[in-house]
Amino acid sequence: MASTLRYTDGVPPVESATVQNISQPKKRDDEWTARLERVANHRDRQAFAEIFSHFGPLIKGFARFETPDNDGQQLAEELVQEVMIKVWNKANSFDPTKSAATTWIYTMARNTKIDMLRRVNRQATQTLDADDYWHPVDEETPVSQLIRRRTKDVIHETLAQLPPEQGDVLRKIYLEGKSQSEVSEDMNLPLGTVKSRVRRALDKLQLMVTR
Amino acid sequence: MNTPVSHHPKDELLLEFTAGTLDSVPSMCVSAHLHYCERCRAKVSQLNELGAEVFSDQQAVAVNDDALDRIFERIDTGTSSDTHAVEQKKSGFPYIVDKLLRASQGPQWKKLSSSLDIARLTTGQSNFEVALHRICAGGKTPTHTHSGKEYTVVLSGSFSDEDGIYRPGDFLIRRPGESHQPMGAQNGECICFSALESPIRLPGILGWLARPFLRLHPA
Repeated sequence: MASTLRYTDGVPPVESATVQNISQPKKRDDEWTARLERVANHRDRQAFAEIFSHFGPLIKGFARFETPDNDGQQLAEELVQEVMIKVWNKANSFDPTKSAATTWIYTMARNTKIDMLRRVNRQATQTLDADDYWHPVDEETPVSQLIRRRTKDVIHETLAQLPPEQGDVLRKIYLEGKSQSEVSEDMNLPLGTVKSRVRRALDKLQLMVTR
Repeated sequence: MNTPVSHHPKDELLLEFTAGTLDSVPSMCVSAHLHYCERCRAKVSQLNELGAEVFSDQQAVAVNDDALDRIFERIDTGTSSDTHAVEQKKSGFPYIVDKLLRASQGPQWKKLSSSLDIARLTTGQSNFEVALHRICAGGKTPTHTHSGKEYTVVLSGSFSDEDGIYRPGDFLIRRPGESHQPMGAQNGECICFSALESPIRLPGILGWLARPFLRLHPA
């Protein structure tokens, strides 16, 4: 520890510079971070409109409500409304050192979708909101930020190269909100096959590797 | 957080938790475990990144033309329901357990045996009985067999059974038919968060109608 803190010829140690570089958000997320900050600090409607035009259609695609009454379309629009209003209201709690802008908006969309589904299915409990389940995960340490940043890059590059059958299973789980056994019914595959596809995808994405 | 947690949820459970496809009660147990377990928190945060990437990669769907105007309208008229009331009480228990305790005005301990107390928690679902269990120091609980699945997360103290010793944060699943005899550690009481699958499960409207009869159990 002491050696990394020692200055040579008045030049700051390389390590701290490297750490700073790595912890800068990647370019593709930068633009959303900057816009979110403008919304938070200046209530900038133009910046908000730009966030909306990118994420609104993604949230609607993510809605995928299957309802017997065929009102899925309306619910999807409602989800877009609810999530985007949260983006406006909570922009000042967005912390770019803790999460990427895209991840922040995605997790909000996921939690809002869960709450909406429970409401629609009348399983709403007055006791808990989806956010309540996520309380501890918010406290990230600087170390996990570094890992997260690296993870994000690896995931981005690898996801596109996954064999289609592995990508399909991940999309069913994350976008359609299906459990592994529901995916197995849906795709007419043995549960074991679904599980091993998930496992292989996670391996390829280098996730879940004990460090 | 002081001693490393040694019993974790499986990766596939964490995946379903982050995707929001895990049922609410197992999700509560995962959430309680995450409070204690840095390793699983790191995994969950990786899985969130994966979710975000899949989300960004998908086919976008055009929104209604007036969607943005309606959002600004709702923001301006203040009809947006921003329920961000954060009430914090530090009991050392996971946030989710605290919140359930507040909602249940608990803990209201009841004696199950000379060495075991229970405080039932209100969760608003009827598939599981969710409760805190308290085993007194050195207490022996009767050997029992599970008729449904049981999730346990140790909150404080420790207990042991035939298979091992369990400390704060440890996450356990007992499957139907498994039998065991938990024993409290000699050096102090042990408190666990537990969810026991109800022996009677009625789907849909029947379950709702039957709920008054099941009141003493899942709530």
